[in-house]
Amino acid sequence: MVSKLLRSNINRMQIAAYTISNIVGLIITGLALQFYRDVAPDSEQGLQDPAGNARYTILSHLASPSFTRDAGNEISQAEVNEIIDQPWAEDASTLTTAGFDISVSLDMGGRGFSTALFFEGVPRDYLDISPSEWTFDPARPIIPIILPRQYLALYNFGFAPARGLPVLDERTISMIPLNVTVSGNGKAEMFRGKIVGFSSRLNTIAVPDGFVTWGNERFSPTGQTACKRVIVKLRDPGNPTITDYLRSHNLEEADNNGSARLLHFVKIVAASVAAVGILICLLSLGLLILSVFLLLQKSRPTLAALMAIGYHPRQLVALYIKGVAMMNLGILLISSGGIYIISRLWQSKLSALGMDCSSVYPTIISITLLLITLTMLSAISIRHNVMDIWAKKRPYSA
Amino acid sequence: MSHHPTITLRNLLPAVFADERQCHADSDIWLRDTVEFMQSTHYLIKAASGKGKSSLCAYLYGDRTDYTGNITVNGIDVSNLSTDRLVDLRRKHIAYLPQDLGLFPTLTALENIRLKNNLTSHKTDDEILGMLDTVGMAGLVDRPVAKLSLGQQQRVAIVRAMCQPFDILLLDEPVSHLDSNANLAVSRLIEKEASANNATLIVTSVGNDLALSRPVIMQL
Repeated sequence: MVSKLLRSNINRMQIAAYTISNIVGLIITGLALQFYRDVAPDSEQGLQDPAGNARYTILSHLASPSFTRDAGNEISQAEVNEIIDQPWAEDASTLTTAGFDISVSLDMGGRGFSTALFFEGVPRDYLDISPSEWTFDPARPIIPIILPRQYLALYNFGFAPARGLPVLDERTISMIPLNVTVSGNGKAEMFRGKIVGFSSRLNTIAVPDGFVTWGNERFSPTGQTACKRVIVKLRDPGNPTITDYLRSHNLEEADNNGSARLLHFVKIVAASVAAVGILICLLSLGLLILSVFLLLQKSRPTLAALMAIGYHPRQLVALYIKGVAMMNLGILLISSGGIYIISRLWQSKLSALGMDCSSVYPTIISITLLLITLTMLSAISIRHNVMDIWAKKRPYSA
Repeated sequence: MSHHPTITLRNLLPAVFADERQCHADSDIWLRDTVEFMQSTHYLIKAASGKGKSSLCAYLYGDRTDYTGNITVNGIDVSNLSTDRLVDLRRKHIAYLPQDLGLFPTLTALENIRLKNNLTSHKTDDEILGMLDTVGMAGLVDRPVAKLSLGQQQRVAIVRAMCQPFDILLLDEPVSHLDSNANLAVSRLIEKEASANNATLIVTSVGNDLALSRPVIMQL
């Protein structure tokens, strides 16, 4: 009966406006969140970027046809410093190129395997894995090596089946002893090599830069360390001026990092849309609090009369909070259904592209938490307003 | 049988009368050292308009505290009660009929009464209907209050006020719109309920007095 009494003061237009705006806000927030999670899933599949590889890129001068050993496309320290000074760059370092001949051989079950290779020296800070040792000590010469993950895939799915060789996993291949022969400048020396990991960031055969510098001094005909590539840690991978800068400085990206950067851009867009959704939710919360305030002002004589015949302000607060909670539960059900149905539309397309999409339930849990927060804020506002009426019912109280 | 005071007033005066203390020298209530309202005793407080009858009722009910002096109800100062204690006082100890009645016009007579009785569970539906019958409202229980006359509304509000346990029954001009027959019927009911609760009955009047049997008459 009290509910009936209080309901008579409700403005249906205000409630409808709150309901619709909150549903729209929650659906936008939820869809943006779901899209963000779909294009950047936590799993090992899809357009994933767990190591933040979109924030790294390797640059070199545009290759020009040349038949000489040194094409003259080295990157100077001044150029590196200029790159670091760019607003989109956080840090940069040269990859030191080995100016000597390298041959690696290994023995797999009696079948020998030998190939010429190249090494580039990479500072530890730019690795996407954390090998226990990433130093070179001439006194205890074991060379830690990091291979691109694509190389292993190429071996396992291309080379090994064709040659009848065993398929290897990362753990196994790390245990295979390598013999590294370094030669040049009239000298040759053999070292032990150990594969310490696989990188999805570096499209090169990486060794500690200390080894390359040491090797160049001994085996390179010039004794100098040449730097032809620079690895850049990006502050803002989605910055469109990067492309302009590279073009004007005759630089190119070693890997096709465009898709990773596009992904980063898409994620920024999705996050921005989510922020707009949350803003709409907050505005609808403001609308609800204003509606509740107006409703309570309109119901003031009724509430005062109820308190005068013995109703506790807490009972009346509970009635309003129950009403808001029921309304928000309805909003949650409608919004969740909307998010589920709409996200299916793009998830089916992504699945057709072979991408695994994220479950929609964590998104629904997130908007549930958001709505619980909104409900609690409304409850605080309701309590404040009702207690205000109780206090002003006795305007001369101390 | 000895009765104890349920309400004690000490040097009570509405703040609004602070500058006209000499005008209230003849009052039986304002500015008296001690005024005690005893259990099971019926009081009729008479005064001209503007003498503070409704203010006194609001003070006793804990609704207002714009006064000097002191009020205790069942030994407790009512000027500074917590929300819980004030609600408890209103539900179990003081039944109050305000002058503006405080009815809900969209609800029927019976719904208005149930609204309070649901809170206290003090009367059965039959008892409520019996009380309404006693005051001549039997045929009007399902009519919205907005469609009742002022006198009919007063009777509904009186019945509603008594749907709770009480030590004090406080009625602010309860029969101002009733004829003598209705006044008599209402008086019998009020006295019966007050006696059943061993309550202090305090009734104010600006002219049309509730027809009590042997009230203590006080001038405000």
